[in-house]
Amino acid sequence: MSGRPCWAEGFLSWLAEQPPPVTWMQVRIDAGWRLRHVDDAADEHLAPVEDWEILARTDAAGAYRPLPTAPDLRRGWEAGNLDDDALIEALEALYPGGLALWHAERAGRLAVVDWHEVQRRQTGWQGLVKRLTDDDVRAAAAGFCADERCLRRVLWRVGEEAPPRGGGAVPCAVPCSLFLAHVQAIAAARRDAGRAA
Amino acid sequence: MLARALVLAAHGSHHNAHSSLPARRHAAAIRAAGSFDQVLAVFWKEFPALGDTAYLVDCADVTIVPFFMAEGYFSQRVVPRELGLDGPLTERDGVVYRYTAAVGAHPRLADVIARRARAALGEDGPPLAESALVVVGHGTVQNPRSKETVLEHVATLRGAGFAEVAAAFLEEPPFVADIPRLVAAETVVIVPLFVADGRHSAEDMPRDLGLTRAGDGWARPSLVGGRRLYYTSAVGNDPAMIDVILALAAGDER
Repeated sequence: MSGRPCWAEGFLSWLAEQPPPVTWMQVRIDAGWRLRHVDDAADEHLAPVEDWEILARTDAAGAYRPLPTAPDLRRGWEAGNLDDDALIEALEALYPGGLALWHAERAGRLAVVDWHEVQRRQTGWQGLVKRLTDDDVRAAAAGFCADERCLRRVLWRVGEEAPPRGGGAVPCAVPCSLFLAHVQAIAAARRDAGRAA
Repeated sequence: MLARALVLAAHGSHHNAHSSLPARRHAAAIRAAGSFDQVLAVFWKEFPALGDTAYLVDCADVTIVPFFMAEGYFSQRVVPRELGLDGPLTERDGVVYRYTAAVGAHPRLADVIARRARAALGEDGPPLAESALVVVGHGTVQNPRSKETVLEHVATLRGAGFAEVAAAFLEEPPFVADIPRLVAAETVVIVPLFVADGRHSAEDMPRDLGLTRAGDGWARPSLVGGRRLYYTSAVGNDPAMIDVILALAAGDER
């Protein structure tokens, strides 16, 4: 037994069968394993990665980056000669939970939710989202979850319709906390406008 | 399937990178020690999300420790709901999920607080017996447990050698700004019982206390209204939290 969780084993087996380079979200994986940003060419001056978490959690201006799957992963870095464990560690730092969700989807174990279920279980301040219509939520997702903002591939649904899908390897089966905060702000603004009128 | 997983369930933040740092750092230290097959930190406001836990753990025995400083809304409602837990013990799909008490409610926290306060005063600093200790908690009018947790630690700390020990809160009385009225000593050590140096302990409280900036932190002491205030960083940063997490995971809640 390798001591690795099934999703890490599953990803490594899959990767071994792909002709390199493989693109994983905004990361290019070459044999060896060598990683760099997909938009960086090999002959550019690329700096070694000192800390994967800092790379994942700060943007080019040094500000906090709360959404790891935003399409603004910093450029200008590279890492080579990574063994399997180091490769998994790097991809997990850059896209936390991403490999496990990808693996669960391939294994047919990923539970895709309907927005209404999410809406129903919101409590406290977040219960405000119960005021939103399905069209409000679809419109919010069309802006907030599009590839320009987040590269995850949206699978969750609003009734019969799914928001725009996107093409990323990491699936999005449940609206994330950032999306919830976004629709709460919409609901709060609407409530406040209603009170002012 | 592997054998044992430890999961730290924490809040995290959309706005402050420091908020999840202690949980991630403690998880990394426990992972490096090698006594669990998997060690994860999962978050309400960051990634991996609380709800992703079942996909991430590939172990038959999963212990979840809520990294919150008091029992309350998050430890008793949000975390169990997002992880699909029925209570202290849940069995699902051949996996046993154990859910422990929140780290902040563990009686050992009183020792951690006392040691942080002593370290803040320094070996050559003001004597403990002439100094007041104030433990600051979040507090919320929505759940009495938040305040009660702080008061329990304060009761224990009354025997720790300080001249006075008091509690103050961010969101219910007595407030942080009331501290000068709560204690008489000229030297006051203030220890935030918070998981991390997020907005509350890094911005709100220093402002309410009138602390003086010194580099990236706060002057120790800061002279405010004839008092010498020694303000420590959040308790959640303390490496001793690792022992508390491991004690809870081992079923030791005392």
